[in-house]
Amino acid sequence: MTTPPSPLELSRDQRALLGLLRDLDKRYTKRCADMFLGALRTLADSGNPDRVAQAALSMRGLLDKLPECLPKALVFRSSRDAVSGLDSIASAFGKAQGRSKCYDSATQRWAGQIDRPLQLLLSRVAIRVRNWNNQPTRHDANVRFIRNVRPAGPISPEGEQDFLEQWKNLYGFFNAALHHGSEPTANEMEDRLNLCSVLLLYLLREPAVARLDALDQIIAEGESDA
Amino acid sequence: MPDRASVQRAVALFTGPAEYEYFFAKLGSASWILPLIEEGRFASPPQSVREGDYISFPSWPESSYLARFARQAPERAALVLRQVGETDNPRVHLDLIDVALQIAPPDAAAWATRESEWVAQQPVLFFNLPEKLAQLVAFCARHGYLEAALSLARTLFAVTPDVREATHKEGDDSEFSLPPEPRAKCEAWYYAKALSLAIPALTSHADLAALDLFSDILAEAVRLSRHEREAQPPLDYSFIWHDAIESERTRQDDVRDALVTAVRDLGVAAANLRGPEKVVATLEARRWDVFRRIALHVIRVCGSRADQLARDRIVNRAAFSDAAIDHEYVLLLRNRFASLSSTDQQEILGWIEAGPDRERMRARHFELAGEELTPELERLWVERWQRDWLSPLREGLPEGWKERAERLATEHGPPESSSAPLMQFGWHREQTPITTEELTKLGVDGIRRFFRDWIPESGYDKPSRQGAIGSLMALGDDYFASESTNAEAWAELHPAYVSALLRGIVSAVRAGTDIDWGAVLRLCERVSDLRSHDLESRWLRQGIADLIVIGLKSATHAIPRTERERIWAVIARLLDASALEGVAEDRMSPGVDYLTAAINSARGRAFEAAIRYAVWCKTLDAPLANGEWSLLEHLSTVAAVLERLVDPDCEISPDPRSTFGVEFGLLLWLDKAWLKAHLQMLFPAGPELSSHRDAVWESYLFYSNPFPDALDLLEPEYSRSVDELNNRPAAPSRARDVDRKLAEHLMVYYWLGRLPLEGSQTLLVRFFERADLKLRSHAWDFLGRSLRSENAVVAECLERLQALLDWRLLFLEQIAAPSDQRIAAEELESFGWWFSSGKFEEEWSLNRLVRVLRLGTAVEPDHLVAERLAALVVKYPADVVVAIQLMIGAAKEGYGVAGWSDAAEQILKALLATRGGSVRFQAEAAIDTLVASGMHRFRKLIPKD
Repeated sequence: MTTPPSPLELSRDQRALLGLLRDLDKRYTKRCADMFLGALRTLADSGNPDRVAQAALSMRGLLDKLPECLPKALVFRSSRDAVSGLDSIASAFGKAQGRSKCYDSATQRWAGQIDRPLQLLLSRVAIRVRNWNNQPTRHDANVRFIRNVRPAGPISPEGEQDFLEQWKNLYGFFNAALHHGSEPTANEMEDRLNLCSVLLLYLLREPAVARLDALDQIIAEGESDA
Repeated sequence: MPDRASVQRAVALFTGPAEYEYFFAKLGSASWILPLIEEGRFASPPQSVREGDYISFPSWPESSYLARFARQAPERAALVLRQVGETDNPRVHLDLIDVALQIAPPDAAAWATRESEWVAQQPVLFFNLPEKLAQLVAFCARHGYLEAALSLARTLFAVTPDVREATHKEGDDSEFSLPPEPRAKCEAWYYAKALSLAIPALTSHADLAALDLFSDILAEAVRLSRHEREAQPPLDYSFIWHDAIESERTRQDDVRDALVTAVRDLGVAAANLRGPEKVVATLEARRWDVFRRIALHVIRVCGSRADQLARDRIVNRAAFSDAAIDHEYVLLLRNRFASLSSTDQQEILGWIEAGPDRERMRARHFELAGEELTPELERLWVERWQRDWLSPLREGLPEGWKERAERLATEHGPPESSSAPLMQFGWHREQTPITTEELTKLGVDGIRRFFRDWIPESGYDKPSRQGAIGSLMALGDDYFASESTNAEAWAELHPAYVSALLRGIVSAVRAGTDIDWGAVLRLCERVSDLRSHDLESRWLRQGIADLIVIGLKSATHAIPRTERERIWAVIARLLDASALEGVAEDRMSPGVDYLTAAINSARGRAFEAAIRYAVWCKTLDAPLANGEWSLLEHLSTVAAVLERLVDPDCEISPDPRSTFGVEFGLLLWLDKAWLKAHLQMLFPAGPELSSHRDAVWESYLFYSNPFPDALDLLEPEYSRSVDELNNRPAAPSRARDVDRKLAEHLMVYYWLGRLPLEGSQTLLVRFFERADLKLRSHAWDFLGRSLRSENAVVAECLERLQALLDWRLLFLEQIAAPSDQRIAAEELESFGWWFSSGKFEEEWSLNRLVRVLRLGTAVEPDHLVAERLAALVVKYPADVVVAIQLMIGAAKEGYGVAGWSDAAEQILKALLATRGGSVRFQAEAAIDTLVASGMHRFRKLIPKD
């Protein structure tokens, strides 16, 4: 028999974020709220010896999925591409195009001392690699998400850089933790999880100030000729 | 113009109280009333909210808005009042009454009628509802809607029985031998204030209906102020609780007082306009004395219009001798006597000539003085009584009587009251047979002779010994210092005078005046063996002990060493003479603590004198003893006596033993080995001697510092006390205070490095295991406040304190269930004192602050924490932003930030200016939380990207 985990008590901000994530889930058929709640619950379960890594997995998953929560989400280079080796093929292909005498950069065609089947193969690979190279990166997806999702409007360029940097750091932290590449303590994990919550709230929540501004506007309009 | 869609758009933006309250607070015109009505916003006011034993009254932004703009659109506001739903929430009623005060009188009257139904159901009126309702009464009355005004007044000013009276039983001698107090729906002060607002408007109508209503309420209040068995008119003792009807003074704690004034004013107004007859009949129909008195007042102020009414009541033998109404009767008599017919005057003068009821006077004197009234004294009193009656009539007296009045005034002095003869007997000050000036004229020998020869007479109204002592004490320090030379001559005087002399000498020593110690101690020697247990002898012994303690402690006017033998002789006699105290006399009160009982007894003071004497001797001898001083060797006689005093088998009362606890430090300095050898006696085992042990231990904890050397001796006692923390039933408040002192002692010993933390069953570990949350909190609070108040704390102590906090923090962090953890962590709430002390390294302080906050507790004092965070924010923005987020989270819906909002603003501004990292975003999120919880002042901090 194991002791049942203690009931989770969410802070005001955590409750607010959970509500916002549920809204996104409904709109884009995702499970972001589950991932966030799962991370919190797992981390709070002191009887779980792997709770830090498992919470990190949920949080990294959340950061992976969030950029897809836009009306026209970008399909960015996924980690599956790396697993399949396509990224290394693309790299080698690029180098071959640069160095081979059989590649005419002016016409962007393979020619010379190669036979037809090889020429066809190389041409098709070239198209596939070009498409892949043009596919947006995770960074591109993050930028697009951050610029479009925020109800309060875009962050200033300087702030955006800082924000992306924080996002990347958190992603790296969770990624290392889930692979046991780093062994953060539960407190350290909680710190990062809290920081991530605050940043997501900053991004997703319509600021109270904005609602007050809107109310000011309504009152001003109503009383303009009163 | 706003329309219903505008309201709907606004409502759609409400996600919580912040936007909701903001919107209604910002509305700037009455043009919103109609769209709000259309949208149904006025249909459902919030009800009171009951949670367990608590009740809260949410505000209603809609009604607050309406109250602000009703004057601009009274018809629309009235429309709201006609439609608004019912609520029991007094806040809403306050707003709606405000609205009613701004609309057309017929609409306001309708609302007053509706309010009266609600008020009738309320046992208590909260906030300033009584005042507001009274304004509505006045508003309706002023505009002619008297029925509505009186309807509301009837429920607003209704009185109800004292709830305690229900428990009163016939013959019960407990608290309710006191008369009950009628209750109103609010405190008497607010009741009086409300009456003062309503009555002037009602008097302007001079309507008998108003007089009738308030007379009924007053009659009910009078009836409810009497026990049920005696609630019959006419006797109401109003001459005690409202001694003069014409007076504008009102007591703050009695609704009857304000009602009397109200009925008086209504009566006078009605009499002026409609004639006094009906008014007087209305009043006298109530039959209580207070109404007869008000009627007499009304008749008097009506002047010639009430001549017949006045004559009928003045020329009335029963009224003349009725002490219950005599103030108003005499005022009326004085006012009208000259205008009475000669026959009427002669009749009244005949009553005066006959004098007071002699039999009653004699019986009363015997009852109070315990002796027969002498003819001479009887004549004196009758003449004074006649003087007091004739004096107010002097202007209208016929010839012969006028001269008589003047003669009586010359012989007996001016009358005791300008309005009425005093027939009552009551408490009086102690009378002195001689004034201080007269004593001074006697000279020092004459003073002693006076006190030797003067014999107080028996009788309650005779000069007393205490009165004479009052004159003596006023002679001042110089007299007593000078008279100390003649102290021995006082030995033959009454003990009360000797006590007074010693008190005067103590005062002179305290004032730094030289006295003749030899003469004073010789006096003490002669009188100290008085074995009587009467109060004055006990006071005398206590006075001697006080004097010796002062003399032994005084740095500048100490007793000379040549008096060494005599001092001890006096102390030994005092101890001997007071040996039976505690048996022969009861303790002051069962609830009084041991030390208070001790210092108010001769024996307790004699204990202190004995200890002080031993200390004084060591101070004199030690320099000669080469550090080899011991109590047994150098003061064997004193040691033998002290041994008896500490022995619980010899000392019957535990109270004087408390002196050993208070003076534990002195005893330690005196002879630690002797003290160690007698610990078993000081702290005897066994429940039968627990009070003897507690007397010493509790007094030690309360009044002695935790001296480092004391711990060696007292560790078993500390240990016992810690073990008892969890082993007794609910502690009474005194025990609670003892526990707090125990906690403080342990914390000091830990601070000083005398108590270890390491180990599973150390005193400290056991203390934290057994102490409840409040006691643990007190321990942290004590340490925190001490840290802040100390100028400098050595590094070693700081390290120890850090280790203690870290040890406890780790324990709390390991509590699995968040709710349990949060409750347990409240013990660290006072970490704010630690943090704000500035004594610890900045990084450590910030880190521990965040860890404490993460446990879910607030930190106090939050404003000091915020000030320190403001000082650290530039250097440690990443830590400070986390800390302030947690503090905001711990504060209740923003209100908790109100006490430190300036510091919060300063911190947040600095955080917003931080570039790089996540600090700026965290700060913005914190500001958003504040704004969303209603702290709109932070709105301006949000940068416009």
